[in-house]
Amino acid sequence: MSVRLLTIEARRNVGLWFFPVILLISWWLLSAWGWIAFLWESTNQQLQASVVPFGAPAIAGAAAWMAGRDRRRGIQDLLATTPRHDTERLLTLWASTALWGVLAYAAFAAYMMGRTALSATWAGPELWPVVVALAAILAHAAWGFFFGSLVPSRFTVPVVAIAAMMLLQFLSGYMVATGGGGYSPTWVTYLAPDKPAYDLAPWQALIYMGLTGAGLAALALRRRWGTPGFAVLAGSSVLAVAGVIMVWGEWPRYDPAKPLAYNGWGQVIEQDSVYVEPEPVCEGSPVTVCVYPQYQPVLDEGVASANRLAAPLLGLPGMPLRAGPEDTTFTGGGSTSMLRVGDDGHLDVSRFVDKLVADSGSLREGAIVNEAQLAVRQWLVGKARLPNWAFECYEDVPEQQQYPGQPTAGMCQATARLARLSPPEQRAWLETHYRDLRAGKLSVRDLP
Amino acid sequence: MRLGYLFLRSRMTGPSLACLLGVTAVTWQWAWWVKQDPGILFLIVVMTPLAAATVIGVSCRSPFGEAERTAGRWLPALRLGHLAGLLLLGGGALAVVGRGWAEPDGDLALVRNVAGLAGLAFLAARVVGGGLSWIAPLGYVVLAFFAGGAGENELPRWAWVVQPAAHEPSRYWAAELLAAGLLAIAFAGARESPDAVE
Repeated sequence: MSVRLLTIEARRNVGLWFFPVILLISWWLLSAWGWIAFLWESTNQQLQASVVPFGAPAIAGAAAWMAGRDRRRGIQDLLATTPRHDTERLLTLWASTALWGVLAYAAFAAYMMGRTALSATWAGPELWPVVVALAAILAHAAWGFFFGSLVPSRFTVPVVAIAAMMLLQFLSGYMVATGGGGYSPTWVTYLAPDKPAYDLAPWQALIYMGLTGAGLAALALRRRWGTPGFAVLAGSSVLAVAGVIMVWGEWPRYDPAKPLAYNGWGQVIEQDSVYVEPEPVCEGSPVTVCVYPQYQPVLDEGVASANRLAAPLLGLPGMPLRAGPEDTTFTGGGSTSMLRVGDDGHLDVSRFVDKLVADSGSLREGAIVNEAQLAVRQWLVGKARLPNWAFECYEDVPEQQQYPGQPTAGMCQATARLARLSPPEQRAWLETHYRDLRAGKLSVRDLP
Repeated sequence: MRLGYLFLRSRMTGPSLACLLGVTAVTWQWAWWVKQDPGILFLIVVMTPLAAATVIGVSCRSPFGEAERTAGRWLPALRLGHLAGLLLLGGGALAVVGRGWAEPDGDLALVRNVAGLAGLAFLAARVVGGGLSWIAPLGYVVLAFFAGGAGENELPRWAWVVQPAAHEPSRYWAAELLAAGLLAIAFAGARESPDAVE
């Protein structure tokens, strides 16, 4: 395969037009999945899930289209008279088509991983999932090319692309009923290359590398029967089947009765090592906020929110001055704009606000149910004017739709009464009642 | 009569019908195999109309190019008749297969999706040529499929292809796309592809 021929074929290839389309649709999928650029966990999972669902079937279709090119142009006989071996010529055409898919994927992966490498503060890239998606693109190109060459019709092209997409969606959405109306994925689900599973990723990669080899060997065998072709076909098929068997075998089956996880061979899956919680990173004064190190990029925002919320209570006896990792939640995902993909995500300190107005003894199942505490909580939130903290008071909620902690009319009126006081009056009331408020001894009627 | 017959031959109507028959057979066999599993029926309701629509989209390519445009008679009527016929056959066959599925109004959803996706394929055929017109419906279906991926409870309005059959606006979307696509192809034809990739 000469580089010059590869370059010519790549330049005059439909893959060139598919390159931007794959990037655009992958970008959109990335926004739909809610990628968080500074988390390696997010990047590791969403790279595959963004590029493969469209990129792989599209490249299968492009390869099928290119495989039928010589027949469409009526130059098969002409090419047969040239000295270059026809299998080599076909492999060059396949490689040049697959190249565009690989380039689109590489560009996308480089962008995602580069951005994460620059902003992440913890963990690192997982390379096997990257290989899985790459192998899947090559396998789709190989089989698309094979079918396009086997049935060189215009109708083969969409049928191949859509069949590839159907198979992909079928596998990745494959669920079995678990009883009680629930569904859960099985080992079959993880045959899909867009399903990230770190432990299974090497076997997933093996499947798709095997399928790539088998597709190319089948293509070569169609042109010329021979032992080398058969050997490659047999070897690649063995790899693919071995990969499927290993995914089946290594996929953990959890037995809730024991509770233990077993592999397909009935062996107990042992944890490689005991999970050691990373040391939290702390910042801020007077309220200090601590988060796990991966969330450090949003720590400043969390510190600012926590301090704004706590400002009216500073100096009161018993007021918590530390928000630990258990008091914060990272919320992210669901980009609202295609131009802000990867940026969404913030540190939610609502559990710290709960802690400000209620001690642990006054909570019911971890939630505030005391209306006075809820009213003061709403007042603090309203005073801090934080984005994403909107709440509404529903006046006439039917009794059957009410739940503990729901803002009721009485509670909202108490919040409004507290808000109407002057700051010194608010402070005076808090100094007198803060301890009882946190203990859950007040009702809304006790609010000023 | 002879003109119509020759026109249909030039548009590879025989292979198109064979493909549509194949798509219908796969739909029927697949639905029978999954035994009315609602999750997979949902997949079938989107994917098999996509296959039918793209096959119809590919068939709108003309092998004659400018010669046909300058010398052809009744081209809009012939194009419209050809595509409407394929749509009726493809959509009708899928509707017959989809009757009685566990998916509510599965037959209607199949017909709606064939119509709307075919419209999209026709519009793409006008821009990129019949041979590659499948890329637009394929891309659109991927986008619609994952439109709720971020955990939104409501699907966006443009994701009509994954809406339930009873969702009225989705029918209008599909009908409008079909009308726009048919008009574009009937009066302007699919794009000829003198470029290197054809």
